[in-house]
Amino acid sequence: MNDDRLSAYLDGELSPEEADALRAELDSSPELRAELARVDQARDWVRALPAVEIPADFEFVPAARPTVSSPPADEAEPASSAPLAPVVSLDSRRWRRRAMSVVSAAAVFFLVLGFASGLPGVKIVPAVDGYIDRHAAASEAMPAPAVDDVYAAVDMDDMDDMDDMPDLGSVVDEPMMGAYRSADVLHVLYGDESSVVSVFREHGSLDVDGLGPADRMDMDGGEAWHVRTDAAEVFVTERDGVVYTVVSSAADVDMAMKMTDGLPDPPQSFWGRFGDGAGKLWDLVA
Amino acid sequence: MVKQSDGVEPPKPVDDAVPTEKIPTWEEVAQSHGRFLYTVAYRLTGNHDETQDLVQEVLLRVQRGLANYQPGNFEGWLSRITTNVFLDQKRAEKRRPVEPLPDDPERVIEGAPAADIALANAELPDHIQSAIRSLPLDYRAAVVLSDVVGLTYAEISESLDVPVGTVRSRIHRGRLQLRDLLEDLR
Repeated sequence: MNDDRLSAYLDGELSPEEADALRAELDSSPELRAELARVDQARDWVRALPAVEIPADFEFVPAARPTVSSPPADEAEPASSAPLAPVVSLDSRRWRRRAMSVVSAAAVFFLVLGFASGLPGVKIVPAVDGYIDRHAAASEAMPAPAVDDVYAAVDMDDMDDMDDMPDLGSVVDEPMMGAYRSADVLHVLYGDESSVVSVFREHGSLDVDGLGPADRMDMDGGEAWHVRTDAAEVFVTERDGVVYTVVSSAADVDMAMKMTDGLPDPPQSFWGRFGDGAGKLWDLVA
Repeated sequence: MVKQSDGVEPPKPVDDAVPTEKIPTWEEVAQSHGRFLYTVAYRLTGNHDETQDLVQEVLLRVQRGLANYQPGNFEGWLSRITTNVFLDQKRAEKRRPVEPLPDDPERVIEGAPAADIALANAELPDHIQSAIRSLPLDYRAAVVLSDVVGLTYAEISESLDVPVGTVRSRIHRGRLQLRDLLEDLR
């Protein structure tokens, strides 16, 4: 049997009329009484579970919070008599792991790309490992992608912020879910709850030799390179002075390939890019 | 915000220590509701590593969301955030399968315990926790919100954004599966 009125009855969620009717059925049905006893037993077991013992070294601090102060001395007592771990500066294993991940990604971005990208004709190598990490972090937080100190959120409705990013969602009929920027790299996420693909865009010429092990692919839209890595599906291509890196899980590889193939040439003119490049060069000199 | 129920007062595993009139800081939430939050997270995840990541993520959401919090059922609000973050993370993992760590015994889903083991009352909570962890995600969330947090069906419906009838069905099926998994316990 599977009569969900029984759980509702135990939880006081039936109306008086429904409860009366069910009681009458229970009087005449041993099977119904047996099922009631089973769900009642399971309900009691879960409700009787004790509060969980908190490991002594665990610190109650928000994720992605670099440092916090100790609570005021006159803070309210914990609800339970069991002591809570003090709120102190971050030093946990998880935080070190996350911090190292962010620092590594940032280092790759800024060291490899920070000074080279954005200038038409300058050879650049996409920071594939960092992009894979960024894709994983952003897609994990879907459908509300998280932001952090490395990436700044971008207003997807503002084409200046979006740097004239083409509407790749139309290529695969998937919505644009979020956009971020770090230095000169624009990161745009496409997909839904079941599929997520990241596209990283940066100005410059692709340095194929620096890409590492990769297989060349001839696509309708031009040549692309499928990077050999077990961590994700990664496709890199250059379209007229713009390098795109498309990252997805193995499950979404078809979507990623379609988007790579469907990448259009950027609508920005040469003089527009020249202006951007000159501005960035001026920033470097200044 | 999770609405208060009409008529049926949910059981309170932990008293609300935060005054309803005053919006607390996240530090106050950690102090006053840390144990409650940790317990709910652990009942959902079934292991301390995932629990601690989940709690820290929830505190971040709390920190960002406190400004918009409307005084009411604070633990219901916390539970709603916790459950939704948990479900989001699990759904993301399904898109990106993660290999279980072979050296983490908590990641091994146990079957029904043997009768002799089950007789050891001290281990009963562990067996129940293992059974909860083996429930499908939707059933697990509904059962935890009902039987650990003590929310009403209407509150769970709002938290999970599903109809009350769906909540009722998930809770009942979840309890039946739990009972089946713990068949040897008496």
